[in-house]
Amino acid sequence: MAEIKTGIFAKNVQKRLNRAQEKVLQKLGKADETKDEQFEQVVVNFKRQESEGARLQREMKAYMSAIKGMQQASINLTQSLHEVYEPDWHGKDDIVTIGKDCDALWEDFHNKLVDSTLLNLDGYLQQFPDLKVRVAKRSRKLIDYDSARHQLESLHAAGMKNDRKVLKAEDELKKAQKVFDELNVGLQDELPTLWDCNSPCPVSLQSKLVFVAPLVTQCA
Amino acid sequence: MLLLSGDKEKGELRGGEEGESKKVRGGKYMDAGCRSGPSDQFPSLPHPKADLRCKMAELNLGKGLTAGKVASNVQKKLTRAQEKVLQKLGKADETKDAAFEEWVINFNKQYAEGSKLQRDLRAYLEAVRAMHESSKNLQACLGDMYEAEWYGKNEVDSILEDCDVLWTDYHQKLVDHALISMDTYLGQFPDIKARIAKRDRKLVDYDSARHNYAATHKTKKKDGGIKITKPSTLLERATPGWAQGILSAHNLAQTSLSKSQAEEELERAQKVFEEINLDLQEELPSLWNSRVGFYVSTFQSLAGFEEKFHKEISRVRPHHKPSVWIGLSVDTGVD
Repeated sequence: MAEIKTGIFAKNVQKRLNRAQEKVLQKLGKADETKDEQFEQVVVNFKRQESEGARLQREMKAYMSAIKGMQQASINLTQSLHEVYEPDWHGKDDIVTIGKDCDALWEDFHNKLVDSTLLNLDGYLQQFPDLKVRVAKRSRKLIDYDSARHQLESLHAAGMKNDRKVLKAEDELKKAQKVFDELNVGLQDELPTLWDCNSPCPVSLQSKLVFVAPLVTQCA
Repeated sequence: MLLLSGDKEKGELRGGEEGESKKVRGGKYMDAGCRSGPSDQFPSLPHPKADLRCKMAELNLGKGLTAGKVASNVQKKLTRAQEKVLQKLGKADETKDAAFEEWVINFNKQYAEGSKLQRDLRAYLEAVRAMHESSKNLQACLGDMYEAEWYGKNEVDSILEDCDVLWTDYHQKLVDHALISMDTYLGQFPDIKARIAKRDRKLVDYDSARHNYAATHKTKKKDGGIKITKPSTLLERATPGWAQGILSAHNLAQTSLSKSQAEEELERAQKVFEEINLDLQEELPSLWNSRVGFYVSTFQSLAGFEEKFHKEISRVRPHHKPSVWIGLSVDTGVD
């Protein structure tokens, strides 16, 4: 068991070393980097979408707690008013009923909002972490691919006819390319789709304004 | 400190009572230097107020208090304390006015209710403001998500503005009508409360004058004095060393009140008391009755504003259909 772990561990370390090396070479301009500007734009959009979604979630939560605050203040006021009433004043019980009705309305409003928007929003936002991970993985695989490519090139350039090494390098390259392409294509499909399906929730948010609370108080 | 604890006006004398002086009972002052005449024999006793003045001057009073004013205040407090002691011990009757006391109870109740309503109203206003804030933030967030060239961006922006205006307006109305009128209503109370307290003090003064008058008219002519009753002795024992002399001087001054002086005193006290009493007897009921009208007008207008606000804000909504939101990929710049 320990051996396997050590094996995997060693492999990871190797991978990291390779990637670091490749990055350094790229930064020093000694090796070219596969660029995909279109994809990078997609990633930028993705990040923007994620931050907007998170902000929306935050604001929604704040709004919810403001609603709760409003509900509480409303019921407190109604109760105080109820206490003021003398027993013989007309409408004493009405106050209680009105207070309860209002409270129920607020509660209902709050719940509707939670059900229709917050839950959707949470579901929507849950897609992001996973995609984020895959985007990161794709960039790592891209580096691997580049690294394999450069090794092959250097072997060719060195004029080595060492078939075994060349073959091995070619193999590596093919593998890296395959892995990378897989990820790449997958993401290239999903990210734009996500961007297009931009929050269906704002719709119901506009309908929040339909809330009407008619308060009719009858005082003595 | 049983005798003094009931009267909070005696706070001044409470300090320093531990160090009870060993001075002879009979009124020797701690600082003989204040004295102008020979030692402390009764006949040559200077007027208590003059001695007090000496004492007070030494105590380095600030704040523009004249020694004379302070002296008379101390005098008043002494008299009142004495009277209250007598009343509590049942040696003197207390003028009671049950009807008035009921008004006072109502007054206090009204004040407490009003204060609670004010607190709740303030909290309500705060909640409205919080709703406004968070609503604005939420809509701004949504607005930001819209690209400039998206269909409906203008609408979203104008919705944001309209809502903002409605909320601000609503909040302002609540402040102007409900909160301010509540504050004004409650502003009457502290003043009336002070006057009730003053009336109580004047009542004690009146009772005290009444008893003195009765006493001077009851006793046969002796040395021009009446016996100092036991409670006064207790009071004397309770006072701190430095005030001992003041107190006994005061007692003697009281005892040497002549008949006519007592009568004058009584008339004056009665007049003062009745003036303030009558005023309050009119004002308290009218204040109590006014509360109904106040509550009605304030909270009806509050309800009216709420209703109007909610109706108006429900009308602010996008005109385009929801489905348009989805098909907005047109110019997002992404394949």
